[in-house]
Amino acid sequence: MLKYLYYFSSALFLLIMTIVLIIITYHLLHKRRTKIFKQKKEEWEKFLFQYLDDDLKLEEAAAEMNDSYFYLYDFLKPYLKNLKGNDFEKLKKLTKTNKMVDFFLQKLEKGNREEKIKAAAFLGKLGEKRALPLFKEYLNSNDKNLMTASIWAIADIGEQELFFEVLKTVLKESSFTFEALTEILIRFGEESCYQIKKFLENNFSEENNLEEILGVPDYQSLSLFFDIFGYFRFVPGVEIMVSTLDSEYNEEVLIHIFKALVKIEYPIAKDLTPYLNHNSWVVRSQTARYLAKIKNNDYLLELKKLLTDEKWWVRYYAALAIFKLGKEEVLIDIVKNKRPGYEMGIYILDQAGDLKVGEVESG
Amino acid sequence: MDNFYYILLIFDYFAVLYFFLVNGTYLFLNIKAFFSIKKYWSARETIEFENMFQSEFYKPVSIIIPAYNEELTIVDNIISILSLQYPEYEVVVVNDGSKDNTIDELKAKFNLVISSRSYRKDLETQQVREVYDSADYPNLVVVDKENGGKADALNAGINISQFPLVCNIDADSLIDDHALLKIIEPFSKDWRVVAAGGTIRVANNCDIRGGQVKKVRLSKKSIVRIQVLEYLRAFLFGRVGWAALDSLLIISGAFGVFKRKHLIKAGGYSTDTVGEDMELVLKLNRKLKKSGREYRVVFFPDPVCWTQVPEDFQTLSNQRRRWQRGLGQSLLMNKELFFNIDYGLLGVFTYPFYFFVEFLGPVVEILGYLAIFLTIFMHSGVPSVAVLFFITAILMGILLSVTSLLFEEMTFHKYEKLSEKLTLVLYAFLENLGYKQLHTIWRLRGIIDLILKKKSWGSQKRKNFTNN
Repeated sequence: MLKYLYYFSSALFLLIMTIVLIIITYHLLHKRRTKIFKQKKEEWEKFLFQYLDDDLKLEEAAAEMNDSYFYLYDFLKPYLKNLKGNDFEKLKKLTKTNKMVDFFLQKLEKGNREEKIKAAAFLGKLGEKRALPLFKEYLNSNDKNLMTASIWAIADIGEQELFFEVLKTVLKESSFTFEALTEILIRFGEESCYQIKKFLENNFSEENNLEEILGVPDYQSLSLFFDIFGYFRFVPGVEIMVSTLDSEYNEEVLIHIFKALVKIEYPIAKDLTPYLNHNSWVVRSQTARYLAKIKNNDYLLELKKLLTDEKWWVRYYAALAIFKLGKEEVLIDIVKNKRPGYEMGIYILDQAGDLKVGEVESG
Repeated sequence: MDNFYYILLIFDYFAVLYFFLVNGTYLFLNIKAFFSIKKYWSARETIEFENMFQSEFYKPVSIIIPAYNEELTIVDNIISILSLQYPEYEVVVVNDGSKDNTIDELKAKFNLVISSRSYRKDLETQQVREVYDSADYPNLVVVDKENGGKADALNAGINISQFPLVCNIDADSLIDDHALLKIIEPFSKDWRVVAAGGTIRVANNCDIRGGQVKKVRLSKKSIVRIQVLEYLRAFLFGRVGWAALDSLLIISGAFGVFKRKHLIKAGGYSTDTVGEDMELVLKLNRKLKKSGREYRVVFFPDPVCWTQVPEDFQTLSNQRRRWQRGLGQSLLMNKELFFNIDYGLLGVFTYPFYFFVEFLGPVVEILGYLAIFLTIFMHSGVPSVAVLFFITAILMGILLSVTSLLFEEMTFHKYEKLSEKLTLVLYAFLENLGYKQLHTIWRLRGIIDLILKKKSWGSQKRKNFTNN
């Protein structure tokens, strides 16, 4: 026992000393890297600004900034995020001319895991289409970080041809939240709305095989699609949303339809009474919100009824709708006569600030 | 005498087995933490926290700060929180019947006026005296209530909070400006996440300006340096390692984010324990596992919260006794998990590990020391095996500390000077010569406090952050 304990403690001691040496080495390396980066940054900053100000030619700037590509990537990261328009285009040209794009394309294919992820982020930001075949391949990668990096990169490039490929991948990845899915898909831009519309016309309105194609229940994909329509205020999408609008349909989808309609602010020719009386309080509240947005006075009676709804948000949106429809006299009357719903009336009038509650109450 | 020697021998073997089991688990956690941190570090490349500002899809959050006699730190802390980078949040400060001038400080500095806000009493709390809004900061609300303890104050904060996520931050802590974005990011990306914790670091002697830690410096005080090591070990390998096994049992009360609806469903923080943070996570785990819902409790090493640690032995001793008592209470309140296969790894391994090692560890350690002394006494000399075992135990402790330092060096580089890092290595050795034994005694007293059903929290001497 003594012998083994002796060996074990000796091994532990050696291990500790090795780790301490690694710590020291890491420290020195980090210090050196920080120093080099600082020096490089000072030089590069000068060249980049001159180049962006047209004081330095593309080739000259590329010649000055054509080494230490990983440092250069760290240096350019904030510019890639923040530059827009012509400046961004110039930056793209610079990274092509100084062979940085080629370097990262190679790293995307043959680098280690970290290098591949870094390359994906960089090439995605630049919108480098030559990287798309590899991104497509990495959509099926077992490495979740690499897969995610590829998803974001394709979305950043906005490659419409891969929209449904990405869509299927993200829908399959069951841990993504609804917000994350939408966040990814809206990066494809408004153009994707036309693809979605066409896809829905073929596979929802006609064939009704959405679930078969996308591998998730209809209500999930539809909610997502309508959310994207709403985000882009996509008026041509209203038609398919209206055709889906049926008070018996899945309430999740109905909620997303009304949320999208609120954003698009487009009037529809459909009786909305069933939705103002829907079992789901979110549907009721969103419908009231929608009526306010499109300035539809036809449902004033239903809105007044909703002032006594059991849910605060429904009462709130109903009162707000009445107010926004220019019918504040209805609220004043309710408050004055202390009719049901007068508390919310007071709240809305008070929030609006143009009427003093005290005045209203005293008539 | 022979029988006694025989019992002693059995205990010696048990101690060796215990030692290898415990340290084997710690080493395993270390390895898991290493890969987890590495993965997290490379994933950061794909996350653009700034994008959350432009997104419609962020999740608004209510930050709850319970305060009891915090007149020295509360204003700095709130200013730090109000300067955080996050698209939509409210700060709910709960004055838990402070005996000092906490509420007057708040009224004076933030121009408080009586609020007209109505709120749901989802959780039972002590009586709320008044709710205030700030005329200067529209997203600040202050609740003044009767004293009911930290858990009660947090529950009052949860009641008044209006957003789907709730973040609790201690009044004596500061958080990095991007920390909130980083800790909430997983809630936006993964629907299974119900709770997330961040790393707590030691703020003593750091350069703090505008409520933010500008330069990290290692304190000159030995007691603080040892705590720096303890915090690094606890967070960089302990919590990260357990989280990688989906078995995280603690999210520090100083900095954690929860989905409000699950807090309400779980009945909020328990007021009959001083370890309400651990009890809550245990309770959440228990209830969510029981409900069959898929969920995750995650931990991230990067979102950083800075806290002042005790600088005198009396306060530190009180704190550690309280922690040990809280640990015991939390475990006892959730004993249903103990070796319960229905709760998976959590029931069959994590909970028993916490019970036998983290909670009963001091008892085993004290008995171990006694056994060594008795063996020496009975042998009329120091047997080399006992000495070597003692050295091995020290070396294991040092190994765990230096690996945490290595993780720190590979990633965050909070301490800039090599001398500070080497000082910490030195303290990884020095802490074994007296401090660890003292710590074991404090923890043992915590267990005794639990048996004696002691209720008090003990007091901590506060320092203004700007005096650091």
